[in-house]
Amino acid sequence: MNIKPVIDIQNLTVSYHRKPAIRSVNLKLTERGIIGIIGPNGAGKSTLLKAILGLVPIDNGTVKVFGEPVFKVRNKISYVPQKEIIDWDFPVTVYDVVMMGRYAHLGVIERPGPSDRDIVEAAIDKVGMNEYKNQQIGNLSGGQQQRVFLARALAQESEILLLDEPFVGVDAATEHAIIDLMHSLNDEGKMVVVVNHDLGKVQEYFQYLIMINQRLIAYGPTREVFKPDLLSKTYGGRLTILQKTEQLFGVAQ
Amino acid sequence: MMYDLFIEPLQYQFMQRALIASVMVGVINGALGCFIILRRMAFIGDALSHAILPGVVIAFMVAGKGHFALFLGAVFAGIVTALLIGFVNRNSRIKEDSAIGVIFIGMFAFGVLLIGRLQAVHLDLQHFLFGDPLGVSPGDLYLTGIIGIVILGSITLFYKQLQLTSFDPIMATAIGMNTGMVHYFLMGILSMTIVASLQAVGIILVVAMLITPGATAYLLTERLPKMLILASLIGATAAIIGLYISYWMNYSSGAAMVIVVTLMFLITLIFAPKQGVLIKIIQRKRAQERHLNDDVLKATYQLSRDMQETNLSQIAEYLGITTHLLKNVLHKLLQKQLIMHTDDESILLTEDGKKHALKLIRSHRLWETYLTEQAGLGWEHVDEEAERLEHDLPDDIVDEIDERLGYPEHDPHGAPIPKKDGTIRETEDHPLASLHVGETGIITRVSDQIPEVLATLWNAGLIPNVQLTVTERDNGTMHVQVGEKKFTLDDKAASRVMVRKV
Repeated sequence: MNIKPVIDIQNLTVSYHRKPAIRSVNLKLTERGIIGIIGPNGAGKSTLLKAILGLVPIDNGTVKVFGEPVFKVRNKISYVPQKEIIDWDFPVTVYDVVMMGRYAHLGVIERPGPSDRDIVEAAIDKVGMNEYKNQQIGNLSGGQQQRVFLARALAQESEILLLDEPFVGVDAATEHAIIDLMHSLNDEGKMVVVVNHDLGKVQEYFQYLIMINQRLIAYGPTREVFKPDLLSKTYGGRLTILQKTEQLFGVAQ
Repeated sequence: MMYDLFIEPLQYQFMQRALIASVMVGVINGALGCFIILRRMAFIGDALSHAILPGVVIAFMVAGKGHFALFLGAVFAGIVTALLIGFVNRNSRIKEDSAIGVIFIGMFAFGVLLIGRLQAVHLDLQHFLFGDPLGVSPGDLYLTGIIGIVILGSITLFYKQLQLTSFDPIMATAIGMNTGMVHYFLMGILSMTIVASLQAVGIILVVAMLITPGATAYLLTERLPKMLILASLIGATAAIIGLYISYWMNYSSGAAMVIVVTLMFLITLIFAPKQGVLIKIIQRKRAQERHLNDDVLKATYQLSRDMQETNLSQIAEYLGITTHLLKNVLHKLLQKQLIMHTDDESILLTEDGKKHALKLIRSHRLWETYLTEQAGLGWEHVDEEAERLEHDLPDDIVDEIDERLGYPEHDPHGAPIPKKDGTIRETEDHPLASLHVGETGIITRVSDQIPEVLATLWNAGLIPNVQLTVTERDNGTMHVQVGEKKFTLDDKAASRVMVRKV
């Protein structure tokens, strides 16, 4: 049987200010699992996510989602941004932010209706933020802020979730909450793609791994590709990280 | 009196029109300004207000004083400016703020040049620059009304787009909103707003009516819809007051409105209930006072534990504060019934005071344990950190740390940690300095005030549960033996080490 890829990337090249960030990447994501993207700084991890979302101009190649160009399937993809790019003083509450997830489904001048409000309430409840739903987002802790954006992605009811560094600056409880949520979404048949730079928990968290350093180094089930030779190819020459991963293997084996 | 001041001027039609125009200008600018602020476009707003001048003047040359022509000319010049700024920004290494600076002042100069050619016709530069609400014609009013409806209508209809592209442009793009179009749309309605404001405040000052009401509202609320309404109200109020001031005192109306709105901003900046400068100062002072109260309670507990009772000068010396300051603190603690003092000036903690002190000590020592064991901080640095954190931690977090650490009995310095119920198991220990030659003790804890001393003791292996024997004492120093090793300590260090005699 021929399984249709959820995300199909062919010969993708993207550059910023004439410096290539991703070169000739070919990648077919078929599995609806939890997929990690790892690679050193400047390897193009976030760029890959943005290319899937259609947010960056593409030099060459194609990106298709469910066999269609991204702009046709926008409301099937949701995105959780890195925390640093958000203006936390912005006058919006938890509820307001989660409601933004519904905008993808509303017409140009359509206003959110009762069913949207129900979905938003349910999403807030699912990440355990009910108590804080009328708080301005700047009054929350780092972990709570991350949950708000997760709830927004949930409210979007998308098939694919893309998360950019969701574990940075969150407490252990939130990290667990995020992982639990990823698993429950995965159980519902959704694809979850996560950019991550901490190698420590890769084996625990991700069923599949994309290893990238501008070029695609490897993609496959974590236990098959999370190997010293591929890691050294990915992190080429960065000794400190390499040693760290070797130590990791020492512990893991 | 009120009648004379406010109602009497309204018998003149020009004043009625001026008032209506000013209120509309205040409302429109206030509402639109909120988005300009949140998108950090204040500078571009200022630039645009100047840059539409050539558009208005050209329209005047071509079509005469037709309102619709002026309006088209302004919007056209506004869009051209926005596009030019975008072009320079994208096609050179010049950053956006410099691009704005270059383009707008160029456009403005071009407009001034054109006005010079027009002097035969009575287009008064003064009015363009500083406004003339008393000269508002019915046609002007009509135009302002239409612009107002367009702008308030757009904000209502496209609230979603304006909110999301301002807050998270990446997500906005990802769900298919055209952020570029929203930007140019805003530039367009901003140009319209400026045209609508020309008569009331003039080009030079309009940016204040755009930014200041929104900035004031931003200090007062954390909700965007409330901010929009509040900013509109502030804008309208300032416009009305400014207009009357200008009527009665013959000041330029634009300047009067801007002065009023600026004063409103300054007053809010100082007195706003959450964001205000005053409340922040008060909060900081209260926190300082609370910390000092805490420190005095803790010191009283420590000193009266080590020496049975304590007094004013001992506590002052221990904390390094003046007795005058300490008396004030003690007075407050006395009122709160946290301390008592006896006839001979000894100071004691009440039951409540003791409870409070133990709670602080519990918080402090649990933090120290947490920071050394979980966060991996050095033994000698954790005291300062815990000192900062102990005052403001809610009880439930302290209890959670306790649980997570497995209910430890002692902190890293060996001091006992009070339990949740407020009990503490104090040990029978003495300063090492009080031991005589030949006596042996087990280190129970190391008093934790001076990092350098702590580091020295730690490096020497003089840590809790180590047994030592005093071998020799002479003037100011003390020699001890630990296993095979011998150490020399000065009395200062020796007074920091607490031992249980064996």
